[in-house]
Amino acid sequence: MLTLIAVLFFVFLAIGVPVAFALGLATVPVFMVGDYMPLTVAMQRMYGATQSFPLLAVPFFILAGNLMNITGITDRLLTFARLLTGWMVGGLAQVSIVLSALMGGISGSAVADAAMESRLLGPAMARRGYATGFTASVIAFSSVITATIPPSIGLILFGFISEVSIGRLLLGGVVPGILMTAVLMGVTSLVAHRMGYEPELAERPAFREVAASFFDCIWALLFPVFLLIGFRFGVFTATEAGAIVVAYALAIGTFVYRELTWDNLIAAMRDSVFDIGMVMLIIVMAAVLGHALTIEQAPHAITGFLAGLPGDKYVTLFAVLAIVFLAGTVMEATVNVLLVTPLVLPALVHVGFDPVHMGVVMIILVSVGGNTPPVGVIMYTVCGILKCSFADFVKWSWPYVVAMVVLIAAMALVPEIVLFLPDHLM
Amino acid sequence: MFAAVALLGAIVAVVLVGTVGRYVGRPVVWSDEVAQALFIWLAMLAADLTLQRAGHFRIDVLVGLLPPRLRFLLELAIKVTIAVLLVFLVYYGMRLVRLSDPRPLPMTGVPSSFAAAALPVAYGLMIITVVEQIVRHWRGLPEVHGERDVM
Repeated sequence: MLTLIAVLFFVFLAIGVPVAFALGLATVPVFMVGDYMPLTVAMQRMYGATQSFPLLAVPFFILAGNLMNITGITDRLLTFARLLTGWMVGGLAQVSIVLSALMGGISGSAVADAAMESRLLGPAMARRGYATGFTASVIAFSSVITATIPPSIGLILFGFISEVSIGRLLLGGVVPGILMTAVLMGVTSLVAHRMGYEPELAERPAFREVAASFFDCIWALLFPVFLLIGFRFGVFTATEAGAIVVAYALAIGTFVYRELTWDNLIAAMRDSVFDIGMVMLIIVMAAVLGHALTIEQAPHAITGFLAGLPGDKYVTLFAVLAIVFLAGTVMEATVNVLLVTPLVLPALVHVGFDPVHMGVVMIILVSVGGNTPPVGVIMYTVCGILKCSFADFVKWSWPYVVAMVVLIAAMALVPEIVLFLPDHLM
Repeated sequence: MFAAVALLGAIVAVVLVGTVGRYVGRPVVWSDEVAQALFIWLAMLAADLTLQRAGHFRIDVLVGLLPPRLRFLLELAIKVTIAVLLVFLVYYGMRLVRLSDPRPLPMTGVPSSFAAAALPVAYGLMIITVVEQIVRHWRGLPEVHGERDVM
C-alpha cells in the first residue's frame, strides 16, 4: 500500500503537480480503492492538523517578519551594517552578509531576506562593478543566516512537527548563525581581494557615528534577546511569543519609527496570508499521509533501516545528512522540514544524537539546498531579481557551497557548537 | 482576501487577549479554542488565495523540458486531476461536517461543524479557482503569478 502511495507521489511530483496536491492525489485514491479507512477519517485528520495551538506560532512569526520589514527597521539596519563593514574590501558584499545577520533577529525567512537585499543592494553592487554572479551568490548564501538566527520559521516548524523544544532549537541556532556570518565574510574577503573589489566607504567611520546608528536600530537588535529571555524563563509559549512579537512590531512601527501606515499594514498582512496558504495546505494534506504512514508503521521501518546501517552512529548520520541534502537540492526548504525531517529524525535519535542538535543542522542543510540547482527557491528569487543566469550563479557560488559544507560537517560532528547555549541557558 | 486578512488580525487579537488575561489573573478560557477555530478558516482560505496566484510549490524543471504542445496537455491534465480530487474532498468534507455537527466545542459550546466547515467551503472555492485556470489555460492565456515568493 505504501509503495503505491510513494510511487504515485513521486510521479505526480515529477510531472509538476504542486506538492500539496501531489500528497492528496497520492493518498486519497489509495484510501478509496482499499478498504483501508474511510475518507471521512482522512478529512478528520486534515481538520485535526489545523487544531494545534503550537502551530499558530507559524503565521504569527511570518506576519511579524513582514511587519518589521515595513516599519522602517530595514533601512536603519542597512545604515548600521554599512557603517560596520562598508570600509572593508568588497564592502557592499560584506554589508549584505551583516545585514542578513541583523535581519535574522527579526525575520525568520531566507527567501524574504534574499529578495529584499537583491532589490536594496543589487543595483549598488552592479554600479561598483561587482560581477552579477558574485552579487547573487553573496546575497543568496547570506540569507541562510537569516533562516538560522532566531526567530527561524524553519526551526519553529521543525519543533512543531517533530515535537522538539522550540525554545532550545531557537537558542541552538544562535552560535551557528554567528559562525556562518564569520565564515561567509571570510570567503567573501578572499574573493573580493582576488577580484580587486573596492570598499564602499573610503575610511573607517568614527565610533560616534556607529554608536548613533546602533541606538537608532536598538529596537530591532533587542528583539531576539527579548524573545529568547521570554522562552528561557517560560514567560510565554512559542505561540504567545508570536502574538506578542506582532504587537511589538506594530508598536515600534507606530510609536517609535512612525513609518507604519494603514496601507502597508494591509499589504504586509496580505503577503503573510499567501505565505501561510502554501505552508498550511501542505500540512493539511500531509496529515493524511502521516496517518497512513503510522498505520503501516513506516517510521519504525525507516528508523530500523537507517539505525541498522553497518558501522557506528556516524554512518547513520552521514546517510541521513546525505538524504536531507539531496532532498534539499530538489525541494523547497519548508517542504523538506514538513516531509523529510520527521521521517529521518527518529533514526538519529535512536543511535544517540540529540534532536535539537540534529534539528539545527538539518534546517541549515535544507536552507543551503535553496541555493543549489536543480530546484533552489532562493536561487530562483535572487537570479530573477538580479537578472543573473543560473550558470553564472553556480560558477560564483562554489566557494560558498564548499564553505557551508565544511561548516555543516563541523556542526554535525561537534554537537557543542549547537548545544552550548541551550545546555547552559535552559 | 479581505476575509483572510481580517481573520489573521482577529487571531492575533484573540491570542493576545488570552496571554494578557492569564497575566492579570483573569484567564480567558475560550481564547485557544476560538483562535484554533478561526485558524482553520484562515489556513484554508489562504490556501485558495495562494492557489489563485499559482503560489503552491511545485517542481517544474522536468515539465519545462517538454515540447510546448505536450506541456500544454500535461498542464491541462494536472489541473483537471486536481479539480477531480477537490470534488471528492468537498463531498467527504461535507460528510465530516455532518458527523461533527452534534459535537459542541468544550468551552464556547459552538458546534464544531462551524470549524470543520472550512474544509469543504475552501475546497469548493479551490474548484472554482482551478476551473477558472483551466479556462484561461485552454484559451492560451498565461497563468496569474504572485509577485512574491514564499518563505
